[in-house]
Amino acid sequence: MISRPIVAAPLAGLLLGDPISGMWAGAVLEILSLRQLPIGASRGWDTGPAAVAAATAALGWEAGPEALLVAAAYGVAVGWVGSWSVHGLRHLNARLVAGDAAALESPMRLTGRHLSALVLDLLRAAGLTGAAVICWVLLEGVHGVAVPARAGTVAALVILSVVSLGLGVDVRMMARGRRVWRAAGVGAALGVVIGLWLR
Amino acid sequence: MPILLCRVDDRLIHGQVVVGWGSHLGLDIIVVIDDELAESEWEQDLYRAGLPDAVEALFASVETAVELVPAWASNAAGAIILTRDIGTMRRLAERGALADIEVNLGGLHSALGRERVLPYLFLSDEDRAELKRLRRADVRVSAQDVPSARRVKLDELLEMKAS
Amino acid sequence: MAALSRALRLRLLLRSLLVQASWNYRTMQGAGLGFALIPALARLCRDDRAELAKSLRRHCGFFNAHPYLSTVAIAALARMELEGVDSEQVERFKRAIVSPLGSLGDRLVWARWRPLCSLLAFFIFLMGAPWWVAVGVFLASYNAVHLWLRVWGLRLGWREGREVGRALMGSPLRRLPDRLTIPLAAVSGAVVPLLALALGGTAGIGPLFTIGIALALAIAGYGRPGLAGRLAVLGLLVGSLAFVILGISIW
Repeated sequence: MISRPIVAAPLAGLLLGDPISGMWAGAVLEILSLRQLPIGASRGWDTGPAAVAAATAALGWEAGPEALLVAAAYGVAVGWVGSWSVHGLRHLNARLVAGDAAALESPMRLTGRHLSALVLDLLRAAGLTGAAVICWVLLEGVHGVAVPARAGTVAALVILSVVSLGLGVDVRMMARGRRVWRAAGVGAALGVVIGLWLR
Repeated sequence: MPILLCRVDDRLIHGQVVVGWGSHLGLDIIVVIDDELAESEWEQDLYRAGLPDAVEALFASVETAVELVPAWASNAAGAIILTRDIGTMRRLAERGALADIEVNLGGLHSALGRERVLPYLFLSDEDRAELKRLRRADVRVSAQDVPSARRVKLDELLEMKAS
Repeated sequence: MAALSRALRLRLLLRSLLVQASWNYRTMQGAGLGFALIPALARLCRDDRAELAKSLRRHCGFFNAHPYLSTVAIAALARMELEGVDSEQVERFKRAIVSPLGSLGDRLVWARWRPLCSLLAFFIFLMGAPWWVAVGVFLASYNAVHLWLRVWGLRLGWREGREVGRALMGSPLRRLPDRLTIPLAAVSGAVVPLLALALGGTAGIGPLFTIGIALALAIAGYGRPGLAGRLAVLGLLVGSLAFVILGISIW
């Protein structure tokens, strides 16, 4: 479970010398991916490479929220490419472990094929992550350009809106009486705010 | 709001149905139509175990279902009808149980003789023949695994090449 | 015998960790299940290579379960095979067990526990905890339940065998997702104003304004989850693109 954005991004940030920025980038991605449930053949974006890419792009975001905004979007884009590579690998796996029945009939060969699928996935993720980081370094001419001070305000509001929308999405409930629980959530939120003000 | 979804899915009750479609449509009851299952209690227990409390499961044979579908359709509770294969759905249709109900192909998985048409849909020649019989019985059919996915209509589906 | 079966169960548990490794569109976790069952099948067919080949082949067909609960199926199947249950019953069991294990696990882990742990981690980070504490809280809380589920499932499957459905029906797992909805709603609600304060602070906007916007959008998002989710990602992409273009044009 290191591939969750909220873990992978701060760890990548730590390697790059700025875990706090990584944490922020990871949190934005984490919230945006909350609604993606890996059920059956459905696939969301590939969160691991996305998180590392976003953490790379978010380095020193405290220079301004616009850096965080661009970083999170870069992460989503990489994650989206990643989901296509996962898709491809799942087809490849079908050939590896679901095509030739004879190849699965001895424990040794089954283990070999099964584990080579695992290695392929690790190589895929590592390759994608590496490519995403290199692409960002090449793009860095754009990054860090001076943006007018007012733009930071706008960027912060965009991130805030995006994340708030994402948070609203996450509590999907099946059972009845969900309105009560929704109110409990908002009540808790207001409680925290009032608590902070009193402090 | 009676019958929310009438679905062919060889996994029957599972996450895509309960979380994916159920939370989307407001699900109260799942009706599984399968002659073998209607007789087997330990299997029914297994399928029921995956359901949240608010959702009930019923298991019926085709024979019983033909009589009961109109009742479910006029019930206030939202129902999802599930069968394991296209053949069962076709039998329901030919008995006139599926009037004005669209059939959703939600998942038929790899098996001997079946070829991949969509990521979640593998069809054999026999499956295709059953689909054509459904079309002749004037039943609307489309394929869609989850609510957010694109819906593929039957005509388009039958023209797709297997890969 | 008891000692042997203990060692066997441990091997099944460890192998279950890799059940997803060759996930594919044809058999999904099929080969993973076969891989996980190797110790049990090898013990059963110790002297008969042809028999082993046949049973491996049977178990590498279609299978899918929530990975953490796959141990229920793995243990129950191991027991059924060791007890010599006929293969038609085994196949029917496999077909039926896919459903509850997927459904229970998806609702409990993907839809509740994982969001709860990650939002909790973010919450304590926003409350001022160091980043590594937040990450540690996520890893510890999430994986405690993850590993507990695997061990619990293995025991249950081993004990109940084919009849595991009844035991699953009465298990706490069925009620847990609904219970977790309350803390999940609370934490996700609590993150909203904290986030608004933190982001507003860096950009110098007043807290009332940011909290108002954030709460309004979060509440709006409850009604139309699919739409809100797409809007969120779209907003992010369009917004950032605007900034990149703005940045280039000024430069």
